[in-house]
Amino acid sequence: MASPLISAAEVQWITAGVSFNIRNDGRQREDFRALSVQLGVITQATGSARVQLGETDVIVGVKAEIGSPDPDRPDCGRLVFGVECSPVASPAFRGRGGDELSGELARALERSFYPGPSGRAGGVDLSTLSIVSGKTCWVLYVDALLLNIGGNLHDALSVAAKAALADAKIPKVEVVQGEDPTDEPGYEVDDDPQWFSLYLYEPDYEVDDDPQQAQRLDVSRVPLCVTVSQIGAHSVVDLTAQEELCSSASVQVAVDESGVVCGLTKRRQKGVDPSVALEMVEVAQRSAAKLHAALAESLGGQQAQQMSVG
Amino acid sequence: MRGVCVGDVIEPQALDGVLRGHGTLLRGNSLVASRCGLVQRWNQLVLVDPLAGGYVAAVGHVVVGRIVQVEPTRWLVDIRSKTLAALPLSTAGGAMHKAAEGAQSSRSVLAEGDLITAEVQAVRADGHIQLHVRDAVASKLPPGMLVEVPAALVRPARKHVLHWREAGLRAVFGCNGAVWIGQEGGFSSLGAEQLRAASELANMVQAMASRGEMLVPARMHMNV
Repeated sequence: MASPLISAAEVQWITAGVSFNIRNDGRQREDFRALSVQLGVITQATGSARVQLGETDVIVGVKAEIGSPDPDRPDCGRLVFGVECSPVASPAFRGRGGDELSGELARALERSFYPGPSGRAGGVDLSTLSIVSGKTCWVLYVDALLLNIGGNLHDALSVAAKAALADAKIPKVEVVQGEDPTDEPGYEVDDDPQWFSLYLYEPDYEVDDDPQQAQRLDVSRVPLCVTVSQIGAHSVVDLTAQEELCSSASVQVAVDESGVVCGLTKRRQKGVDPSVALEMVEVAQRSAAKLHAALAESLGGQQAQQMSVG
Repeated sequence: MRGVCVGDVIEPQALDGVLRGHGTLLRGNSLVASRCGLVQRWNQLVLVDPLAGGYVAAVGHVVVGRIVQVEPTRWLVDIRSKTLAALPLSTAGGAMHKAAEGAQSSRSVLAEGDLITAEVQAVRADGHIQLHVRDAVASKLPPGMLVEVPAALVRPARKHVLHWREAGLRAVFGCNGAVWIGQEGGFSSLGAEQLRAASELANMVQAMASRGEMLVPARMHMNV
């Protein structure tokens, strides 16, 4: 039914099931649904990925454009996150209906990639995206589109964002001498002796379209987000849309490949005892390891395929 | 029974004697399908019965629905159709007397979110659907879970309830594609085996639905 309502009888059933470690679809409390990751689904994008986690379906596209860096971080590039809720996913998203949800999801993604004051401490080392310090850098626009809401959007989006960034092939940029003389000295040039000259020129750049020369991002430190929720007295992972209606407290934990907790957000209206919250974080760490493994397997296979074809 | 896709030619020469039904188009002289489905022929009428598509209510169908709106004289029920169906308060039996006395409101009988089974009593020409239950209180379903499948896979039949006594479960196959699986009998406490059996049945129903197999409770035999 389209309406996001649930009966007390169904809540009782789901809660009883969770207490016995038997969910409606037969999963255990810490089991994820089937995860499917497809890379390169948007050919015009720099990188893209489509992720299906059970019924939940999301696409993330990465577009790399030349832009200027943040004044606070002149040596770094930028990541800009956007999420759109397609009306295909739910009639509630017609017009501006999806703005609140999409804003919340975009902010959550941004936080999991937060690069720190130096710009190097986040999931992606932003200094690798710099072209000319203080003037030019790569800006990666990471845009997500929600195709179907089947519960657990945060986790699906974090997997899709990581996969899309792993798929991204950023064109190689060469900083070369430009035509206009300026007062600005000090830049890197190509080793080719024909470029040395008595004049100091404004640095310019040339973008190389050759995909073989493309720069790949190091996404090994990008964390994945796992949402752990309380149903009754138990912690459950990867909730379906119906199960989400039975839970009133959840914790979103960003965990990287080595199991280190990178971020923590408490969501929803009900409070949890700190000991319970710690348990939930441990559940998240265990589950994140499984999610990282599933994603790595999927990525490894597809990227090997891309290498052999290209 | 012939299956067609959009664009398939049904009748190469559509003569005057052929009545065009739903799901068909006249292209030049030939009758062409505009939906994917099965071709049905009734005397002169040729139509395509679509495979996918929302639930179309008809009198006598038993459906599983969710209360979405409570009004003083009726409830509005979501039965996965184009419009909400109406269940009048008059069917509530004894509860109506209490409501008239002001002791209880219709929300105390059936509230928003509750699942019910009902029979389609009338479908008006403007699409308005009216439901009917023997007793509003009894129509409310006990603890259980809902599985949603394409409505076309559940045909109206005499037997639409599957009883699985060994597991203590009952499954109601609504003609609107809403299948409810839950507790049989009284509101006793739920056991692990009951929950496990229900999840297995639910997965089986989903698997059959994804393969396009018809769900016929009369042909389902449950082995514990």
